[in-house]
Amino acid sequence: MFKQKPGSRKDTVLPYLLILPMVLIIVGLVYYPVGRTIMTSFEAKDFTKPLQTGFVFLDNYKALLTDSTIWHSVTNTLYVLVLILVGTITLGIFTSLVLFKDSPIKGFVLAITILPWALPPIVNGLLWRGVFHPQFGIINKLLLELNIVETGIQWLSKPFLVLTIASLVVMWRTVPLASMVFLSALTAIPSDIYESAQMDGCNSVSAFRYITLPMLRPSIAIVLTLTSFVGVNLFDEIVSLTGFSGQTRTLLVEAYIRLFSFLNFGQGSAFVALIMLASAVPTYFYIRYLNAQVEYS
Amino acid sequence: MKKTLFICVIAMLVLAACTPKAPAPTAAPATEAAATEAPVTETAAPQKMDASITVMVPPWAEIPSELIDKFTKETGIKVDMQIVGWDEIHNKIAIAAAGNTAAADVVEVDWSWVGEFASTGWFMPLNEFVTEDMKKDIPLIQTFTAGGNILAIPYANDFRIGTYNKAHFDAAGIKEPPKTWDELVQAAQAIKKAGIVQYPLGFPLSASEGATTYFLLITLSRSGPVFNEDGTLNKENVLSTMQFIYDLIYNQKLVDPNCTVMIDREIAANMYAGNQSFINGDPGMLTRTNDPERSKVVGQTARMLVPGHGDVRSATFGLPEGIGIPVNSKNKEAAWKFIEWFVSPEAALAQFEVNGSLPVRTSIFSEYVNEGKLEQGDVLLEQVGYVTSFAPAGIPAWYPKFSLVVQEALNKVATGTMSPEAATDMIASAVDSFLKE
Repeated sequence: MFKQKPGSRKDTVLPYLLILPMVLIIVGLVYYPVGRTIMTSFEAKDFTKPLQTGFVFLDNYKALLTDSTIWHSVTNTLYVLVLILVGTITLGIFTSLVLFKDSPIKGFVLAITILPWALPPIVNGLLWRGVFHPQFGIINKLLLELNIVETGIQWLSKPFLVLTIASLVVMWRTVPLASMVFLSALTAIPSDIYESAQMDGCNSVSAFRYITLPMLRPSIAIVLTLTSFVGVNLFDEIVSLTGFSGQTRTLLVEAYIRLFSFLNFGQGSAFVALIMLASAVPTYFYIRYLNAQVEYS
Repeated sequence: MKKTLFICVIAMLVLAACTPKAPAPTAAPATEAAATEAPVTETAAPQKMDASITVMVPPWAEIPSELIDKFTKETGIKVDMQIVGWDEIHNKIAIAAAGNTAAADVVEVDWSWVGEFASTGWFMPLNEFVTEDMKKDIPLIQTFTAGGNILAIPYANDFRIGTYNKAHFDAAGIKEPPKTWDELVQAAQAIKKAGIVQYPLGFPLSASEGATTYFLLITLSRSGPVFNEDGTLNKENVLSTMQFIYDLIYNQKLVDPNCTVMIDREIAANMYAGNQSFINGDPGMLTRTNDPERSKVVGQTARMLVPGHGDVRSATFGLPEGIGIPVNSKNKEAAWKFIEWFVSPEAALAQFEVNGSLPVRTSIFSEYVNEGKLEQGDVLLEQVGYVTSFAPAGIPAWYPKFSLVVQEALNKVATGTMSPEAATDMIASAVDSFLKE
């Protein structure tokens, strides 16, 4: 039988050849567009001013950072991000703990929980716009029917309220995924740890604090990373709820307007580069948190 | 191994597709390209071509496939109709142009994009193709002309006209449709007082394009020009509109405060539901209010002119939609043949019957009126006579930015978070900065 010699040419080249397609795809579809975006961010590229082109280095960044409207979208995004992160982690852990318990309807509950996650963000946004619509929305109809309010509440006209609703709508989509991640992590915790702790007099609260939570740390880091991306890149839900209103614009909505409404690809690309940077910073800390060791004395 | 090679080849093709191929179009684009094409006139004998084109238009421009097949049979040109959401088309045009390609060979061009596209140079001037007869028969071509270049040919004759619920007006004892905005407000007060509807008037006041156009229409018809001759904002007229809207919502309570989160289609839905007595809408509004599948007020509505002010009987502006040819299209001649056919009497009739779009050709429009095809065609014709432009110097390239500022300012006034004065100042300073740019 033919036997491949260790260290032969085929042996050293084949692995590279096998991963080459994936490398090419990633380079072509991820790194090239990212690189191109960063390059464009240093250029004057406003399609409505086709004669004003060229390398402008940091001018687009300067223009953005001195534009007061940008800071409004930054605070909006931060508000939404904090709500989504806190809500997703808390509700995700809570739901996973509920689902962890054995029950005859566990499978059904699991299916119901995962369903919102499968919805496309735009559908999610439109669905909830219908729910909160001041005139046709079911919430106002219910409140009026039960005589809780005399006139319908204008849920979607106050920026603070809209951003809060948008956060809830996003959470409706992110909590199921978080629950699944936490549920799989819970399943992986050996039961003998809990048994030992119980023998040492540990109650359920302490068990959650000193065993469950530390053991969930890698999962929390994953959920934090994924949810942060969702929060920073919030677009569809906000646009579905209030259109491109200046009062509720998030970072991505602002970037979209600069790119596709104003056709200023230079400034829009600079904006996108800043958003990428903003997404990378929390990810760094999550990874550090993920790698932190848990020690039991 | 073969599979790996195949994936490699595909990946390389993707990379090659991402690589820029040609320099971006300049301010004076494609005139050479246009010049190299053989001019095709309306009277040219039909020639069979072996070409395939893609056409990207919004849902309301879709025409029966049998008619497209007929066009293919006559010309030899195969047509791939891509029906895309109106607001998505703008993005697709921008993304394709940024990559030096064409979104399609024939693409929707809205009136509000003309100034912007004139600056970007993404559309091929059609001057070479358009005959004097065509210009005369389709006066709206002027709306799609910027800097002397015809960027698109209109296919849908859209303008704003009033539609009112005659039953509501009759019940409130109003026998004649109001002629001015003051008369309209008095009529609305009477309808409200009679308990017929709670909010007789409805304006889109959410952050949407519909809010801007409605705002411009009210200003133009109720007060006068939106812009001064030097291009700056006519603050007096704009302030008057802002105060008017605020007054209607908070003092007179004739406009539903929920309008601040409603887009134009939802305002129209209130009209169909019988919850509203008047709307300024497109000419198809009357047809839709008489459609039993969507309306509860069938047979109760009628057309009226957009109210005027003082001696001005009415004023309105056109919001026509056209189709043009991107400079990066590879099938310009075939694309033109399609456009020429798309505005022909045959295609216009199909668009009218299927989508309710009014014809852009004066000859066909008059013919429909004479034949009684248009309900209250006399009012339509009269309204056409008052069509003007809110921007007499042409739609500026900064219109999208202006529109967003108007939407925001108007929405803030309507939600009571900004005074009409502050909102007017906000728009005025934005216009000044656009002009400076």
